[in-house]
Amino acid sequence: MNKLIEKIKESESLRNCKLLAPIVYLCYLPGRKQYAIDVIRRFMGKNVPTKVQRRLIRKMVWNRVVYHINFTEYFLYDVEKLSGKGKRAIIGLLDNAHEADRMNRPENRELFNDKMLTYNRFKEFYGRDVCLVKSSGDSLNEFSEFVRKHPKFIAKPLSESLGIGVAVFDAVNYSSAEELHSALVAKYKEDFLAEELIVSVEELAMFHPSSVNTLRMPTYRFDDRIEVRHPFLRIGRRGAVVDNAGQGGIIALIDSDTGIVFSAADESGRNYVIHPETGVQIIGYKIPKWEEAKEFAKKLAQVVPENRYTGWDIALTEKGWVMVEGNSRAHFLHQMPLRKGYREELEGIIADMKIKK
Amino acid sequence: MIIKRIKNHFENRMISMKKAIPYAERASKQYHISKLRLLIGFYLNSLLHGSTAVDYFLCKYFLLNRHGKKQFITKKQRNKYEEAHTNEKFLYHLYNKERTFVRFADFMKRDWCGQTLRNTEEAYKRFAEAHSRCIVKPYNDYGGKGIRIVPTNDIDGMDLFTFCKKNNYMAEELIEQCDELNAMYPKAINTVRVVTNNGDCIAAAFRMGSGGGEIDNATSGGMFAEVDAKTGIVVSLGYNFEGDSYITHPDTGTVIPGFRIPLWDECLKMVAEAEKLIDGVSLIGWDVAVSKDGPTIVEINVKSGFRIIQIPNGHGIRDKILN
Repeated sequence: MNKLIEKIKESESLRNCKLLAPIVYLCYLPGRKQYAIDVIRRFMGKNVPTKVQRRLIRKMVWNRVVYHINFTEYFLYDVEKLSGKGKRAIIGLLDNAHEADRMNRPENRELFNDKMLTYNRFKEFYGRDVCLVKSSGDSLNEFSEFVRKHPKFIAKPLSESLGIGVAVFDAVNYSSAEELHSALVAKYKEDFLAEELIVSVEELAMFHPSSVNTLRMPTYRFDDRIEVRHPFLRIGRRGAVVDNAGQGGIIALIDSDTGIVFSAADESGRNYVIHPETGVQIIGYKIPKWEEAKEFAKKLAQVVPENRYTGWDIALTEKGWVMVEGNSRAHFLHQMPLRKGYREELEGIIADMKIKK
Repeated sequence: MIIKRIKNHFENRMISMKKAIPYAERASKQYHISKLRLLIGFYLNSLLHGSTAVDYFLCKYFLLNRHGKKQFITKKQRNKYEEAHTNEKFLYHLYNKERTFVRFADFMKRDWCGQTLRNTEEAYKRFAEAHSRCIVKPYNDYGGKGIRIVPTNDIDGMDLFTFCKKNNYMAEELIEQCDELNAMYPKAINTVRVVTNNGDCIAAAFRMGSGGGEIDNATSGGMFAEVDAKTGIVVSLGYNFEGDSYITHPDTGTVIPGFRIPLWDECLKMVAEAEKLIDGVSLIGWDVAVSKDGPTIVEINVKSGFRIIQIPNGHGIRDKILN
């Protein structure tokens, strides 16, 4: 049975086949029950009557199979209240990679997945020192050199994304670079990157000073122009070091023409007007140096001309905008604060790109 | 008899259908749904929920299922609720503009001349001497129809008294709005619609004039945006009934989301005070303007719909009313 599910997951035509949906649904239901209950508890509290819970699980699994909307998205997008048309318009995490791959070359995927490769290609835009630390200990000399220069740095595991495992370290707490090295290797158990800390300018840091609040600029490259569509600002929460939405961060949508924030929400579906911890007003905020940010993102989009769609994370420092990372399969997260699907617009964009396969 | 009723029904539907066609064209382009399907959906929804073209296309009913549509409250449903929860006798004070002025004099804070009260020529003369310009309103009409700002000495060649008697109008002193609201749109008085249910503020919308109009009513071309009731900050884009949305005001360029309503706490306090004078009407829409001397009440609405609140917030306010 599991093999059948895997096969259906892999195959494009089988995935979209409506006739198979009931069979997949029945296969899926028993295995996913516990996870569905966890999600329901997270969003609706613990006191959900069993009858309601059972009905919800059935609906969640059905939407998961037919519309590729995963269990958390079921609550985030108010799927319960949408018609078939409304559900189909949502591009969830399950469809995300597929839709992004339609615009990008598969051979370039590795470039963005491997943080070191990204650094080598985009060195001039980074504006900071980066050091690759090997778990075997080959790069100990380089690492001690790096630590001497930047005693406080941020460590990122090479293969993880969504802000998992990212942490700030301070060499002052350790007696020597060797001790710090062994502590880090013990923590990550693989190669990782040590990066100089990005010091965000006051205008963007004031929302949440402990994380670097970055701008996500999704660029779409057409034959004759590059467009920045649905950019958003990510703001950290609860003292976290990272601002990723997966870690409880806030997504603040920006109007692409004017650079003004007009809507903000987090990954639990709550909307925000002011930042809950610092009390700074988010909505109506005008991003500083907005035109430069757009120009910077367009410049980045020209570095890998084969890729049509990339989500760039950029941060504003004293020196100007610097690149944090690029995502070739960037999530269409702007749908979340708007609670509105994106598929129609994306289809229009892809048709406009006139991609030759 | 029955044939006549059926004929009447279809004539009314045809009128609303004609209004719906431009909206349907727009939505069909944006969402790739066929126009016919949208219009059939609109027809069925207008029968089921009493939704108008603005409700159906701007609240995006076509992307929602029955649970989603149930979040919104249409004018027809609101009136039904009204009938069950309203003290008919008290409505006399709210439907009649003059009576409202008398009862809520402490909150309206401005001079006026009417048709049955303060209706003598001397009263009008005194009014015209005190104020060089004033606002004239039809005595028995809603939705901002016919409202004009005029000089008191000469209106279409008549003086104020003859003009009001002839057209069944009443005259009111102009409100001088504060500088913050003037920056949004200076030609009209921009008001905040505060909706209260049994005294609690459940929702608020900021209404702005636009396109050279002298009033902020949405039916007369004005714009509206959602206001966060806790902080008094505008949290959505500015919308109008044509289906456009704006991030900056098209006439003045002032940014709409993030705009702070001045003296918001005082506005809410004043509404709560005024609520005490009301007896047996639960759902009320207060139009609050902020003048240079503080907040004043412009109008009290009992029968108006909730479209200006439901379109910007994207999910209805029915649950807040029925709970």
